[in-house]
Parts: sequence; C-alpha cells; structure tokens
Amino acid sequence: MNQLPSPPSPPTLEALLKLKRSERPDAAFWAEFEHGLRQKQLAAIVEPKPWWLGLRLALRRPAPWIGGLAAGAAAVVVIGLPPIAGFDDTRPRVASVMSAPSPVRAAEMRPETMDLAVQAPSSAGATASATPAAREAIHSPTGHAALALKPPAGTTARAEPQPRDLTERLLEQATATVASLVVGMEPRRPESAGFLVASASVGPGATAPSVVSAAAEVFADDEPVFSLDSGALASLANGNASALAHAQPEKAVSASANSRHSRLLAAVSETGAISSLQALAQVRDQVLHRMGGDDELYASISRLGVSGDRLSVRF
Amino acid sequence: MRQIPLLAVVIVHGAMERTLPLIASPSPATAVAERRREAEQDWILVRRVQAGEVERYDDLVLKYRERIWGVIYHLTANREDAADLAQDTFIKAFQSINRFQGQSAFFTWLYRIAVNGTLNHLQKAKLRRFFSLEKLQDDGGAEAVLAQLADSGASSDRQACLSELQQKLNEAMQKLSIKHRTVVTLFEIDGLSHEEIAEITGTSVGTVRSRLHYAKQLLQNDLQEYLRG
Repeated sequence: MNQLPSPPSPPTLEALLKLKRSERPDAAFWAEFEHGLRQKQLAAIVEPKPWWLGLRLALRRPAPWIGGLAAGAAAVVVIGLPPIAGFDDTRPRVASVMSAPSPVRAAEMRPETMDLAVQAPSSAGATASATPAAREAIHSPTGHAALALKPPAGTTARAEPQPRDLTERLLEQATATVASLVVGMEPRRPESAGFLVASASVGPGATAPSVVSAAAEVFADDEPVFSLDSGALASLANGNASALAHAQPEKAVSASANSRHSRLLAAVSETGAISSLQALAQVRDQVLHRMGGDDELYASISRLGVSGDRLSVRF
Repeated sequence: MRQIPLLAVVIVHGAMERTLPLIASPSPATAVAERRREAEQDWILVRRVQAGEVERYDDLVLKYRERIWGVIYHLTANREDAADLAQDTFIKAFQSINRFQGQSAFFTWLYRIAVNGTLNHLQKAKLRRFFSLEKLQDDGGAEAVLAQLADSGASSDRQACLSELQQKLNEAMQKLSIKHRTVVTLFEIDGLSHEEIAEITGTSVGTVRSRLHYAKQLLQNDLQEYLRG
C-alpha cells in the first residue's frame, strides 16, 4: 500500500533571506558596469566638484538656481585653436578656458584703469617710466597679476581697438618671451598664456604635449597657478624667463601622464598649428575616427563639436 | 499561462519533507578568520594604491563589486540604481583612499560608503520606487530552498515558485524601514557579524540586535503563509 506523501515543510525566514544571495546579474551586466565605472572615473577626473556643491550639501537645502549653475559649469573641455583665415569672430578667444576672475581683470573693470593709454614698453626702463596710475593697474588690487588668467595678445584688441593698459602689454610680451624660450610656441596662439604657466611648472625641457598635459590641469582648475609681481612681469617682458623661477606657486601642478584628459588634449594638440577650416575639420575627423576605435580614452567621449574656431570635447 | 500560486504548488505536489542543507555557511569562527585574512590582503593593496599604483584599485573593485552591488541591490530592489550607486561608491572610495588609515577593515569602510550613499539615495527617492527582480543564479542555494518546498514538478512550476518567492520577499523587505532593511541585508543576506554591522551603520551592537529582531518579526508576520511557523 502506498503511503501518502507528507505535506512539504515550508522554509524558514532565514532560508528565504539566504535565497536572495542567489540574485546575481550575469556577465553582460558586469561588462556594462565596468564600462559605466570607467566613464564615471573619467568624469570625476575631468569634472572637479565645484565648491558650491559642497556648500549645498552642507546646507541640505534644495536650491533650484544651483542646478542651473551646475549645468552652466558642465565639463566641456574647450581647446582654443588659432585664428582661422576668413573667420570673422570678434569674441574673446580665451574666455571659455580662462574664465576665472583675476585681480588684473578686476582692475581693468574699474573706470580709471580704462584711461591708461601708454606706449608699449620695450624694456624695464619703460616700465619704470610708466605713470603711477599704470603701476596701480599692475599692483592693484592685491599687488599681483594672475598670469594664467590673462587673455593673450591680439584678442580683445582685434574685436574692438581700444588702448590697452600696461599690464596687458607686459603680459603679452612675457607670454611671447616664455612661450618662445621654453616651448618654442607661437606667441599669437590664444592658449599661450595657459601654456606659459604650464611650461613653468613642467620645466625648461618640456615638450609641447607635456606642456599641454599640464595646461589641461590648469584649465581644469580654472585657477591661477603662479602669481607674478610687477618686477617679474617687467623682467619677463625683457626676455628674462628666469623670473618664473622666483614666482610663487599658488597651486602645485604636475604633468600628469596618467590623466586621460591630459592625454587626450595632448593627442589633439599633436596635430600642430591649424590655419584653416579644412584643417580644423581634419582634426575633428581624426578624433572621430579614434572614437570609433578600441582606445578607451576616445570611446569615453560623448560629444565632439566644432564651433567657430574651437573644438569641444565632452566626456 | 497563468502562474500557479506558491501555496497551490506546495499543496498539489505534496512533496515529502526533506532535510537538505540550505546554502552552506561557514562557521562564525571560520568566517571571522577569513575576514581577517581578507582585511590584511586588502590593506596591502590599499597601501600600494596610496603609493601611486592606482591600477591596483581595479583589483579591489573586482573583488568587491558583486558584494557591494548585492548590498545596494537588496536595499533598493532595483538593479540599475544598484549599479549606479555601486559605481559611485567605488569612485568615492578611490577619491578618499588616501585618507583611509587602516583603522578598520577596507571592506567595512567600503560598505559604510555604500550604505550611507544608498540611504541618502533612498531618502531622496522615497516617492520613486521601481523594483526590478534579478534572475536567480543557479548555485545550489535556490534549488535547495525550492526542494524544501516541492519534491517534484515541472521546471516551469519551480521557476514560478522562485519568482513568486522573490517577489514576496522583495515586497516584504521594502515594507521595512531603511534602517531595519539595512540590518537584515547585512546580517542575513551578506553574513556580516553584529559588530561589523554596528561599525558600518555607526550604531551600537545592542541597537543592531534590536533592529534585527524587530525586522525579522515584521518579515515573519508578512510572510507567515509561506514560512515554517
């Protein structure tokens, strides 16, 4: 005679909970997870968290305007390219990458400094003979000029021919001097000012890509890395790059060979001077081609655009 | 085809009671010794990362990604959210790794980041609750539980049982408060000790025990029709 099977025993709560250990995704999920993690790592490198995000966390209050501000400060790496023949653009060319406020710019904003029409100094003596008001422009308001954040030669002047103050001329000449001495770079390139600071931090034996790598960090930080007083500026204007050796570093910058962001900028800059729209398109196509390849660096680019004389890369 | 309710499956199949071992768990002493050894290995890796060998961090990610994802998944019941939060956890840990002094085990520290991030996320997204079931990976544990429910039957029925069990479990878990869910997840699912959970959640061992007891009572009540009394 067949025995009836006894009723089953339900599991315990502990057994049911341990069942959840078996809930695991498949290998495809982990591949996607890995890809997402790499992208976030890159974004974390490229997009330093703004100070006001920390403030917002501290206050623990929703503030809609902060979201707008964050969107405005989204990490779009803009590589300033040299002027393109036939392209009539009157915008300041370095505003997007060197946009942090500087003491010099603050001085320029004041009405009295706008009236400073002095001749371009060709020597330290010229600096010494500048008007007291001009000296004030150099020293004010903090007595230091933030070299990294100053627009280079021929940018605002091309848009609207106005008399430039002494500080700007000194910066222009200092930029030209060090750019040619240290990296052999054309001083008219709009990113020269950034490269100038970068080159100072990399050293005299720097190659162009390594300087670009360092400049990338400078741009990412949007902060001046060196402050030069008026004496150092005048010295630089005379072609004496040793003034940089005495400059006070405000922020430690190193050429980061590991930074993907820096490598990308360096790779793009290897194309050299770009003098036409056709050449610009070639750079864009080159990057696009690499984006389709196996290089993780390029695969992490989410948007590539050309606007005017600028190449924009978004990660 | 209509899914057969779990209870109906249990009654229809009328399986004999079996005393199969469920998921094999190491003894507490073995688990503690194993964790200590793991912590020492992790500390070596962390020091190498701190010394500049950042690629060693990938080893830590690879080692802990499933566990971290698992904890977050069991707290959120959403696989996509869990993936996002787990990635954020690893990035935050990497950004702060130079501040890690080895005063606690690396995995405890990592869990703390994961749990705090998940709690923040859950508090922000109280109104947005999308659950997503993860497929059970056949490693014997699920089969053992199922075998306890039904001795025989078509595989489709067993799959239906598993799905229903999963769903009921998830629903019951999501009814718990975040704090209680955290303790249940870390203790019952992830197998951490009371002391480790207290360290991760920043509470006392007594609080952990109390929360665990209360949470299990709630789950027991919620799932009583499926559970041994």
